[in-house]
Amino acid sequence: MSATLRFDEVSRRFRTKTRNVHALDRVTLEIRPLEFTALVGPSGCGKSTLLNIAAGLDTGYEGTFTLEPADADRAYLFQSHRLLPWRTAQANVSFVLEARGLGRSEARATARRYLALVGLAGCEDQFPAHLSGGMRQRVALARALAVDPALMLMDEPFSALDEITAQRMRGELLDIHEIEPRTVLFVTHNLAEACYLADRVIVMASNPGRIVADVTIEVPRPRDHEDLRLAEYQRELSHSLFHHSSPTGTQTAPTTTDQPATGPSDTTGDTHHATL
Amino acid sequence: MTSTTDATATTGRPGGPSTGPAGATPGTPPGSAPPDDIDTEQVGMPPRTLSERLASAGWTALSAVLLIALWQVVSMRVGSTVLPRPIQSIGAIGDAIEAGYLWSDMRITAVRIAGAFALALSLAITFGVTLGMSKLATKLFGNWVTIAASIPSLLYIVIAYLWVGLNDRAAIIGGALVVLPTITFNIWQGMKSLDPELSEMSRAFGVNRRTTIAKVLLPQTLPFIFAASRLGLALTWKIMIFVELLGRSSGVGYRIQYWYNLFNMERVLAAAIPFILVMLTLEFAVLRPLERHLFRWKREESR
Ligand SMILES: Nc1ncnc2c1ncn2[C@@H]1O[C@H](COP(=O)(O)OP(=O)(O)OP(=O)(O)O)[C@@H](O)[C@H]1O
Ligand SMILES: [Mg+2]
Repeated sequence: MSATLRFDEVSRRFRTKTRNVHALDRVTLEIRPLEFTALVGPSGCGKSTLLNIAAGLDTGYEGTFTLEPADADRAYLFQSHRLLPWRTAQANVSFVLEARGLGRSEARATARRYLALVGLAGCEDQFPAHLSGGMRQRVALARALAVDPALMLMDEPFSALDEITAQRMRGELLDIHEIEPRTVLFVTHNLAEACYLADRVIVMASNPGRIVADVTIEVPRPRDHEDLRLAEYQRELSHSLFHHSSPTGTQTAPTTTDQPATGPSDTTGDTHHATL
Repeated sequence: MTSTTDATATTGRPGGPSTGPAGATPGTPPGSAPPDDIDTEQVGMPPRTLSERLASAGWTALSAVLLIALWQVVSMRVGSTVLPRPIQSIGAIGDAIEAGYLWSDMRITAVRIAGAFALALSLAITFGVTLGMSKLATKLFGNWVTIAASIPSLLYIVIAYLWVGLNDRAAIIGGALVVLPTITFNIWQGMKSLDPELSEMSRAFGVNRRTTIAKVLLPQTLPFIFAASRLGLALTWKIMIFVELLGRSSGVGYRIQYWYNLFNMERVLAAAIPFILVMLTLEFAVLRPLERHLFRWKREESR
C-alpha cells in the first residue's frame, strides 16, 4: 500500500490583478513508493503549491503530474488546521473515517486511539475554538494519521508545537512509518527536522519556484538527534538554501546532489539556470 | 412607518451573521503553545453555575422594574389620559380578556405571522443561496434585492390586497413580501462567509460531494440562517400589525386601530402589550437559548 508521485515539467503561475507569480517553474520530481521526502525552501517558493497539486486540489498547472495508483488514498495535513469548527476533536477525526465508509462506532474508536497517540486523550469532546493552536494542529495530525493513507502530505505539521511536543510527535510519526511505511511528502522550515525524519530532502528556491538540491540522507534508522552525520547534512542543506536565496540569481555552481543519479527523479538546478 | 430600507440599514447584522464560523483563525505562531498543554482540564468552557444564572436573572428583573418605574413616573407627569399608569393597563388587559377578544386576536395574528414568516424564510433561503452560489444569478438578480428593499412597505401591502383581495392570504403574502428583501440580503451575505478551505479539506480526504454539502457546507450556513430568521421573525411581527390595520377586521393590529379611532389609549396598550410579551418570551426563552446551544462551538459562546 504505497504511492508513486511523478512531477514532469510542472509549472504553476498565479495571475492576480496586482501580481503575476511564477510559483513553480518546470519542476521535475519523482517520489518513490515508501519514500519519506522532506521539502524545504524559503517562504513563497511553492512548497504548498506542490502539495496542493499532489493532493489533486490544484489542477491549474502546466506539465504532467501522475499519481500511481491513480486512486491512491491520500491524506493531507494542511498548513492551517482546517478543522470543522462545529465538530469536536473526536468528531473531526471520525468525519473523514465515516466518509470513507467506516462504521460509526469503529470510526469513534479509531479517532480516540489516534487522538491519544498525539497526546490529546481527554480532549475528545472539545471544540476546536476551545483548544490551543498547537492542540488544533495535533487534532489535524490525528485526522491525517487515522485514515492510514498510501500517500501522506504534510505541510509544516509541527511548526505550531513547542519543541518537546514536536519531538514526541516526530517520534510517533517515525514509529508509525516504521511499522507501516508509506509515501510521505513533508514540508518544513526546520532543517534539523528534515534531516532527522527524511530519506531524502528536496531544497527549493523562489522566484521562480524550483528545485535546487536533492539530497539523500544516508543515515541508518533509528537515528540519533546528536548524530554528527545529520549535522553535516544540515550544514550542506543550509548552504544550498542560502546560496540560492541570493536575489540576483547569479549562482553558477551546479547543485549538490549527494548520491549517484537515480533515474529521472534526479533534478539539479542546472537546467533552470539557463532561464535566469 | 418604517420602510425595509431602514430595516436593512439598522438591523442588518444582528450578532454578525457573516462573521462566519469561529475558530477559522490560523494556528498560533510557533512557540506560542504552552509547553505542558497536554493538561487540558481547564480548557473547555465551564458550565454556567447556579449563582451565575441567579445573578443574570437578577439583573434582568432589575432592568424590567426600572422600565416599569420609568413608565409610572412619565405617566404621572403627563397624565393618565396621555399615558395610562401601568396598573391601569393591566386592568385594561383584564377587561379585554373578559370581553373575550384578546385570545382570539392573538391567535389570529400569530397564525398570520407564522404564515408570512415561513413563506418569507423559505423564499429568502432559496434566493439567498442561489445568489451566493451563482455568479450569473448575482449579475442578473443582485440588484433586484436592492430594488426590492427600497420599495416602501406600504406599497407591498396595498398591492397584495389589491391583487389577492382583502383576505388572510393577501395579509400573509403582503407581510412576507415586506420582509423578504432584508432576509434574502442577510442570507446572501452570509453565503460569502463559507470557507473554501474546508471544502478543499473535504476533497483532499476523498469525501464525496453529497457528504461534503451535507456535513461541511450546510453546517456553515446555519448560524447566519438562524440569525436571519430571528431578524425576520421580529420584522414580520411588526409589519403584520400594520398589515392588519390596513385591511383586516381581526387580529391585534385591527384591535389597536379600533381603539385608536376611539382615542382610548388604555385599550390600545392593552391590545399591544400581551403580544409584545409573547414575542419577548419567544426571544428570551426559546430563540436565545436555542442559539446558544446550537452554536456552542463558537469561541464567543463560552461566555
Ligand atoms: N491561490 C493563489 N493565488 C495567488 N497566488 C498564490 C496562490 N497560492 C499561492 N500563491 C503564490 O504562489 C507562491 C508560492 O506559494 P506557496 O503557498 O506554495 O508557498 P510556500 O512555499 O508554501 O510558502 P510558505 O513556506 O510561506 O508556506 C507565493 O508567492 C504565493 O503568493
Ligand atoms: Mg506553505
